[in-house]
Amino acid sequence: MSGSKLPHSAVLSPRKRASVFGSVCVFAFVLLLAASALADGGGQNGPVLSLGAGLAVLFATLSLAVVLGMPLFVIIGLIATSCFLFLSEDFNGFLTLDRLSDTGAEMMTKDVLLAIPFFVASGAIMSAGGIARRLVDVARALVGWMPGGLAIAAVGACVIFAAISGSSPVTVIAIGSMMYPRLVDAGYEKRFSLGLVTAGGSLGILIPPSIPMLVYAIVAGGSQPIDVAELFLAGVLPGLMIGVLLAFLAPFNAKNVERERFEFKVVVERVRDGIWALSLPAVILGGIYTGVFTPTEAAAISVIYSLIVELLIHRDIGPQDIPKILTDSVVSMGTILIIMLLAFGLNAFLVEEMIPQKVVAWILDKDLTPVTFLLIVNLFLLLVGALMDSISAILIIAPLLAPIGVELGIDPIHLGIIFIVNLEIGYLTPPIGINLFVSASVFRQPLGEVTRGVVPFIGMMLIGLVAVTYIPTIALGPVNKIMREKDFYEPFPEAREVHVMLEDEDSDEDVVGEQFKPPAEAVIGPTGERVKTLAEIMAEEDAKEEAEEKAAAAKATAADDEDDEDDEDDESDEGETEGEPKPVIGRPKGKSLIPDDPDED
Amino acid sequence: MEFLKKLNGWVYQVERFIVVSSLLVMSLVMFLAVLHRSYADEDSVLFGKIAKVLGAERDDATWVSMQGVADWAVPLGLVILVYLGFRTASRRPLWHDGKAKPGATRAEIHGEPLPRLKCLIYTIGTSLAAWGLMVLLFGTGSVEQAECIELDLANQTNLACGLFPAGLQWAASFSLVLMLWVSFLGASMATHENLHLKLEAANRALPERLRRITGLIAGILTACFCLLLAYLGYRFCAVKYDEWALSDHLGALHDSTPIPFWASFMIVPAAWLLMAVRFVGEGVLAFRGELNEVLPELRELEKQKESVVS
Repeated sequence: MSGSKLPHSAVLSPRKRASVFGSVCVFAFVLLLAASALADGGGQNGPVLSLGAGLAVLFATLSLAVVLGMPLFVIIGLIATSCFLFLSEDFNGFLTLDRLSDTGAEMMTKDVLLAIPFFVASGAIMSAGGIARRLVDVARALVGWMPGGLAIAAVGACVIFAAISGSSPVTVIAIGSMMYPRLVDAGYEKRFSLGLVTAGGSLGILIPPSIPMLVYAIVAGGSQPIDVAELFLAGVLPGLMIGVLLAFLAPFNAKNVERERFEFKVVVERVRDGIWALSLPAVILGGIYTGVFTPTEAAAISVIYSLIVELLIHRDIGPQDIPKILTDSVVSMGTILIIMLLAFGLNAFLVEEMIPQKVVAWILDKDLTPVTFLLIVNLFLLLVGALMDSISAILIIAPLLAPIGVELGIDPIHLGIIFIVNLEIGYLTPPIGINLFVSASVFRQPLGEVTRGVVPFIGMMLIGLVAVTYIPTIALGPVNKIMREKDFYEPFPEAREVHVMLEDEDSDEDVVGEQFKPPAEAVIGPTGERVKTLAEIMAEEDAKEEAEEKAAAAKATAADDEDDEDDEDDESDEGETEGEPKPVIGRPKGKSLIPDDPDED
Repeated sequence: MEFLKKLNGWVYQVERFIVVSSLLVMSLVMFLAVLHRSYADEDSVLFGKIAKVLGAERDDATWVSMQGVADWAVPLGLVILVYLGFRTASRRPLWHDGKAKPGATRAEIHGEPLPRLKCLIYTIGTSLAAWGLMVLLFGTGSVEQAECIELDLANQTNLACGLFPAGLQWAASFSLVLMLWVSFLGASMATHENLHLKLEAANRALPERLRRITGLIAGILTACFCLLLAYLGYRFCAVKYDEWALSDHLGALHDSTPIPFWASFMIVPAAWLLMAVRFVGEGVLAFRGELNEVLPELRELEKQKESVVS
């Protein structure tokens, strides 16, 4: 029983002060942004409470909820419902809340959502078997001969395992519990070994497939749809880079350590043993980027793949283990999904009230350039990452920050990767860093020791973070090359003059809701993507009109077939980016293509 | 109290059954949909991509010849994969209990690989069986798909058409419906196990006695919020039901399935209701100091530690 007390008693005091402060800070920030934005505009049609009173009610409810330790979905739900009830411009009594159900139902029609339970399940099935041992063996055979080889092998095994399991704590438990004793036996310093496996495990969310990335793509795609396939691809290079940075420390800490010998025969033998685990990421990513299947389908295939591999080939688990594994993954899926549903409602409110645009105007007033904006975002996210769990942080902050990034010319994919790297570091920073607790508990070491152990690794990750933030090519290069047919090099977004809200305030675009897209200056950078999506709709519309004018009989069936194929694929279809003609933007017809908001009176 | 706990446990088992079977069905259906697409599509997407990398345009000579290669290369590749599967498969009994003797080496657990000849025979058998299954499901391809669909609509069957001549276009919508059920039941199960993500940092700083009381209050307030959401969910279902009834059962359906929205979304109010009840229970447990508060990630380890101790 005393064991079960360990995590709390060990952490209570550092957690105490910083957490209270942090939780309040995060919410205060969100509220402040909303307040500063609402203060300039809106309100004529009469929200039910004045801004000050509304925010006071909101703030009081939130503080109460936080102090009472209520579940996160209640807190986000409370923000969403009170925003709708007290701050919404077209207040309609209790019926206003129906919008929450509508946005929730709308979210449930997104195919990408399906990828979450599938990836969670396949990761859980694979991890339940003995793939950790197989991967460690492969990595040791491959790099064990290098100076610091065993430590490098640990990082390598973490990278591959993370790609399969998609979960950071699971990686620490699986790879760490296998590698830590071996590292210490081999003569590595205890503190270094602890830090290495704890930090290596955190790579899990950056290397695709990654659940936080899926969540980001869904909740941050309000103002501009985010392609999961692109986000996955963008995570590959930063993930490998941070892996290399972590491994870079190994040779300096391997002074009294014997190296292993390289034997080709052993490599072949071990690769043969681990080939089925090694090829899962290859199947998933290869399938997605050759266009054989979408990320959602890839997720379903990976479940079947892992079932076949674990039950029939590796035979490390039996069918009797399956219900437990799947139940665990479903439960974690359920907790995430209901939060997402409510966060989506909040997202809809933010977009409807054009809060991101208003915040952008406010930011531009302060002469913030993308460089300073990203710096602030990084500092803020590091703080948030230290105080909140990564998925919760994405759910709360991404809907607000992503549209702001878009307005400032920062690619949402790039911003997404910055988000993920920050939150990855958050796994290692006290007081909430979950990997620290897992490590402390798995390796039976005091929390302080683990924390001290990860410090040099956090340093390396910060270097990685700066590189990823200010060299967009690291994240966007592969995406440009493979998915967008652009040059590998991606320039850093330049500061530009945007006066979004002044121009748009009087138009009725706020009722157009999340489809709102300012048509101007939409050629470069991330907006290029967005316009293409709209442009594609327009092009299709044109094609349809032309086709109607011609005689139906003369219509070539081949073209029809192609259209059908495109329609079948979900939004990740790469056809969007492939050399579609760019129609003139901003012509009057464009407006009529924007779907009507269901709530428009 | 004991009876309530038992009842809760039974409900949990039912939920668990629904959730696990739905998840398996979902992945199978999606998998079959992809399979059908690759099977029914005359062009191979993969080889088309390779042709493109080689610099060929669609429908030019290189592209066509690459597609010709795909016709035999893809099946051959799959057969080789199956062979490799048999060659590298562990020799443990298929439905073993998952545990190995402590201290056994890898070789002792997994044994020597199957002899090559046996692997070859098994491979041929498996490949033929898989091909037969595909024909049974999606037809031989000798009859035009449109014709098959007409026959299907006229309630006639043609063996050459297979069970799903038009593929599983409904796979994604159907899976989304199941996912709705899976995730809401999952959320309800998470309540049973106290696994919801919580911002409890501030709460943890409170003294133990106060925490019991705040736990009770939090449970009850959370339950109230769940009830509100259950009511909203119910209203949504009611509206969708009206739409469905007014449109003569033709409207308010999920894409390409005959499943009406109200039926699939029924789980929403039901699950929120169940969660509300469970949160009250959680509040009571917190008040009595019986709540399992170990971090979710560490539960498994704690269990293992406890079992080692006992």
